[in-house]
Amino acid sequence: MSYRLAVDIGGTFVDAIVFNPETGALRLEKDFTTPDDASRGVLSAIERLEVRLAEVETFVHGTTLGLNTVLERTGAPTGIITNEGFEDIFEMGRYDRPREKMYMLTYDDPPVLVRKRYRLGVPCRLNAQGDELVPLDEDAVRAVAKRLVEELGRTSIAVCYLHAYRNPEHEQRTKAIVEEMYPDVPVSVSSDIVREYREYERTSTTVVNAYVKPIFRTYIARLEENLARAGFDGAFYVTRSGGGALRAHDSAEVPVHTIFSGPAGGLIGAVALSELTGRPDLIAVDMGGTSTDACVVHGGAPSLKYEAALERLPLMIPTYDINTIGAGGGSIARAEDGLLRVGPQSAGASPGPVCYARGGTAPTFTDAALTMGYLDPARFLGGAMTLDAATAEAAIKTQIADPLDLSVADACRGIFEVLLAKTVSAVREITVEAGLDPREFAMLAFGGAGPMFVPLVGRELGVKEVIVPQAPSVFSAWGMLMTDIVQEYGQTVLTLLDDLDMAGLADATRQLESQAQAGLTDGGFAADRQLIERAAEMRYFGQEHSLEVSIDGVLSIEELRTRFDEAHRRRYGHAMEDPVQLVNLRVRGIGRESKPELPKVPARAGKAGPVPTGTRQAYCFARGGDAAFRVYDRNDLRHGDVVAGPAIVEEATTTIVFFSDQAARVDEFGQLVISREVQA
Amino acid sequence: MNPRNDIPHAPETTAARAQQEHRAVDAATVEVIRHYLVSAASEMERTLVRTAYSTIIYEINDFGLSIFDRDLNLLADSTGLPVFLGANEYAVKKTFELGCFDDLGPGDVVMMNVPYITGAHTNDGVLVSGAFHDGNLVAYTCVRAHWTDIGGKDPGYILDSTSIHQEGLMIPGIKIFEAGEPNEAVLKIMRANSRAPVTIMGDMNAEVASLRIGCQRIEELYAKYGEATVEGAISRFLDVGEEQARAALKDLPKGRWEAENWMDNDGVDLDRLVRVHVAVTIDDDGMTVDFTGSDDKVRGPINLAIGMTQATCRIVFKSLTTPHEPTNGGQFRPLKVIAPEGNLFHAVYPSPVFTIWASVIGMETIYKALAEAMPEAIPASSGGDLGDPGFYGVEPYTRRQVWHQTNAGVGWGARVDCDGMNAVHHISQCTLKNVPVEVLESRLPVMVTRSGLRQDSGGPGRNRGGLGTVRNFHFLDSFGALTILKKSKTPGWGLEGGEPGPKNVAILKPNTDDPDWKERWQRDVIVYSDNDAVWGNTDPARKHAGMYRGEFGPGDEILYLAAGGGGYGKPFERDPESVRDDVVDGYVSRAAALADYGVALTDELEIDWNETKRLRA
Repeated sequence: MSYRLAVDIGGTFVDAIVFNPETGALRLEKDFTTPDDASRGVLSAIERLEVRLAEVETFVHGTTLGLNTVLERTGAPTGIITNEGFEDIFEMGRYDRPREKMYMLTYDDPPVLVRKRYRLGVPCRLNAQGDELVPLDEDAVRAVAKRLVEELGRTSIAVCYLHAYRNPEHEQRTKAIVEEMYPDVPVSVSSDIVREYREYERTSTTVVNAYVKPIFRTYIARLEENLARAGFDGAFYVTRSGGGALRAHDSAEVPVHTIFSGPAGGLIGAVALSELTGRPDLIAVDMGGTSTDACVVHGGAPSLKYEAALERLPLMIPTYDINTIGAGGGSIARAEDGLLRVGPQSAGASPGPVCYARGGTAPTFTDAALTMGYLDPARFLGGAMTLDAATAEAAIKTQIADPLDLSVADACRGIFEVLLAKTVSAVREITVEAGLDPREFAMLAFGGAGPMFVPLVGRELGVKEVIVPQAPSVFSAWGMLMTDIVQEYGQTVLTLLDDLDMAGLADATRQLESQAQAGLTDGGFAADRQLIERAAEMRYFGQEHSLEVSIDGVLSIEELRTRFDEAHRRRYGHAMEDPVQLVNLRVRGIGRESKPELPKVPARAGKAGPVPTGTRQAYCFARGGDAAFRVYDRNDLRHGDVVAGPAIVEEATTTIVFFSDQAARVDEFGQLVISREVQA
Repeated sequence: MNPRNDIPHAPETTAARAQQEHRAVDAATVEVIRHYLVSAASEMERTLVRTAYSTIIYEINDFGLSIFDRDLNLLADSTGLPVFLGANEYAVKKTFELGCFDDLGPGDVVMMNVPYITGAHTNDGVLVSGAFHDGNLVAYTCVRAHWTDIGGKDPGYILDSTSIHQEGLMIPGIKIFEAGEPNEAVLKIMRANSRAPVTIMGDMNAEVASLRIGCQRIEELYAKYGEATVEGAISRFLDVGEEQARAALKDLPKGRWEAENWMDNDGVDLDRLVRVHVAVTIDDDGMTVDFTGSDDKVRGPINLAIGMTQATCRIVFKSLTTPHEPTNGGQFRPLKVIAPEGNLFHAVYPSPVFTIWASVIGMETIYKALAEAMPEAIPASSGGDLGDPGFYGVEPYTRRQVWHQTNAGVGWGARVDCDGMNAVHHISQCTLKNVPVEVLESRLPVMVTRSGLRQDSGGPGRNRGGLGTVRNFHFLDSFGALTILKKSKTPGWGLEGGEPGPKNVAILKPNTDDPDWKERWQRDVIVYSDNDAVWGNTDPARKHAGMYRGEFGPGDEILYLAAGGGGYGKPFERDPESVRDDVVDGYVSRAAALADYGVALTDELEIDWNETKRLRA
């Protein structure tokens, strides 16, 4: 047997899913997270799947451990070794304050992660070409390492020298010295993680890696040990922020790459679904309890970006280019100065919306949805929970409707409208403003609250269709099963194209390729399961931000230039005559895994359509007033069914809502494909 | 002459009508429309940033974008730097008064860069377009962005002009686009007058694209909701803006407070300090900032156009009243700004205005007056300057004329409840990012030999002022550079017994091993700094290092020591453990701990309690 197993740890839940490639069967379990020892939660979720670990071939794990370690400031005591005279780079940053705080006299940055006393300099210096101006003072390295570890109790060390992206020798030598002196102290070195210039961002990335590393390493080791004890001897992977997964062993060296892997599962799933159902252009919208993540898949590829920030710390790592807004099922509505505001504050899972009757008193989006008639108070979470509709309505009346002199119905509609305006702007930012027309895209709705709200968002933006996949509330975990293994290799070049020759460039690329191939072979991927992608990051000289362009098949420097000009024109609307600089070469080694196919649903026998379980009065955005919504149980739907709006489709963990000018077709995979119909 | 410089008012054609209608627009729709306009302004910004040619726009964020209704009320803005807050409002109203929009049609773009009208310098031109609904002009979009060069007497930055006619080409409200087509005649004149014609045309196209997006969004909004609803909503949220500001004002103390501050010089008369004086009044009607007590106009280019004076006051006002809200014109209704014509803060033709520093110093002076009124809400002085050596010349790598600014991080003032922030740009441009060492070194023949926090630069106090920075630029080859400091001869201030830190310092060090150095520098100096505290510099001839422009050679150095913020409360009341912590981290030297804070530390950096008690007694 060769099961594939995926476990995703989120803020509240552990989602676990197992796939049997022989039968195509999927099984899913949800469990609460165990913050004291996260690995226990993982194992208990696996137990509930009732899968024998000895039969599992690959295990893909997504974890927010790195993220939480930084947010909660529970990382390792970290020291920094850098150039003498530049010890404060990490604290000074770029001298800027966040844009949204620019008028706040009382704003302060969070306390610096590594205090000045733990940042020590040593004599050594390279210039921008990577030439040595001052040799590395090895005795000084020994002295500062001794001070950091023995006197100051640092258990993790970050090393970042100026221009090390050009020449890593000083950094590597420093690492060797420290590791020789203190084999138990992990050393994170900037040139191992990022080969790009900008010293503060590189330092910050290295420091976050160092800060997280000991904890991450221990966690992975403990999990490996527990898995092995339970009979597991397959391959163990951890998901990356920018897609794909790393071998667990590698992730323990560069845990910074896992920091934003939280929403990654959903995106991997979106990409897989885009391929499996022949929809290369998708806008994925994941709406949970506190936030909504939107990301574009264009031509089958998700948008990536190469710099992210965690609180105020910049991270030079590839991540999905996800636009997150503080709008979710738990978003709190309030009347403020005569205006109706919604979010970004959220009632979360605890105390939750008023209707959960768990102590929440502030009306939320979910309370409005219930009051408007979209949710069945008796059948929430498949009947596991009863919602308190009267209290929810009262909260909306006293806190929103009365102060604003509105009817309760108008207040509820207003809450939807305000959240809709926010979500629509967020999607416009990643489509219209990137030169993409949302009308040419399908929209994928998932997350607990997505299916109820996203069809409305899609309607407003005029997208071709809104897809609601099967089990939309656990779509992210399903996505993790679709992961390929990705290893990236990069090299900073920083040379104008005019000064480059094709032969040299091809040589440098080949070197990276052979590293990538070796890595994949090491990971057990036969040649026919290896995929190599080559890309160059380029920019017009003088720009700070570069664009990544595929260089697969490029034969001349002129062609390279043309590809870049085209990419720039596509993205920003114009090309320039300026000299072009090649900043980084990147080679991506991808190990293809066998993946589950989408489970299919049978077609309906006979001519009769699905039978509604009832009807409910609710507000219809297409009619601008209340209407009778037919209510269906999703389990009753079959391939080929067409459900005309206004309708509500209920399933165990979510509710799908669409309106009188929309209709849903059920495709062979049981997905609801909702599109605009001639006004009914 | 009208000594009170209220913002001129456009005819209130629709205000009354909208007033009646806004009752009819419900709260949710008001919020949706407000949100839509804010997001249209950010979309204008992203369009500009993504398509601009020059770093000063897309990296330095030297721009401001705004949307106005037909009565020229500010509906939304997007400012790269705080100092552009609302700066377009005066410009648009003045340009309107001059009749420049009388025949504005769809696709037209009007350009205005006369500084007295735009409230800036010639390089910050203002471009305006109209949005139309049913054939009627219903709103304006406006963008200002810094152009690299518009033909002033010097490349980069102008430090010592004595007339506006040395500061570049002026375009007084001319259509540069008509019905979407460029007016080639005007563009030719602009190109012929600029040292960077390709760049400014590229940037201008980016600005026009941004205006177009803004107008398109507004037109969509009108098409969707109809005129009555949109304008009813606008009227409502402007009123809400005013209500929010007034509610915040209600909690502020009432009275009149004054403060004085000094600028080093006007750029021409280098030995004369320039006086900045403000009187701030808060009463039931609002807040008034009066610059009447400041010096009259000066010969050099530090005079400030009144539009910029107003923008300066708006930052302070917004930080006190509605710091969390997106900007709209209603929020500023309770603010009044007074500066008589011909005053330093109200430049009139033909006064030179290029160096905008009076805004930087003026802003701090307003906070200084407010600190008298509410020391619990206002920080002590910051380092008080932008501190930027700038580099100009032909880049060896690209062989192109360039201008790189490298502003300093200053310390921010301590507050009633905490120490000041270390190493942040001045509040007027605090969203700006500096140029990384690795970027600078890969572009210029300059090596940075030190970049760090300046020890003992935080003003002593119970809460310590934030630290300024030290940067040392070492020239590897010949290149042009200039220094600008306007707050290096007089100190900042602490509050409630706190003290200022040491002043800003620029030090120019010629390479005296070079036999030609004296000729090259044309000055017989070895160490050249602005104040006498550093390096034994006592010769009065060796001043004004903060106002130097010239060619530097291999081995020459520029050192910048940026000032820290002022302290808050008496230094002897600072917790000795905090003082010890500062010494362990090197923020404060052991000597300063003893002298400024009365805290004695042993060689092992333990507190000598007996000695400390004796010192503090």
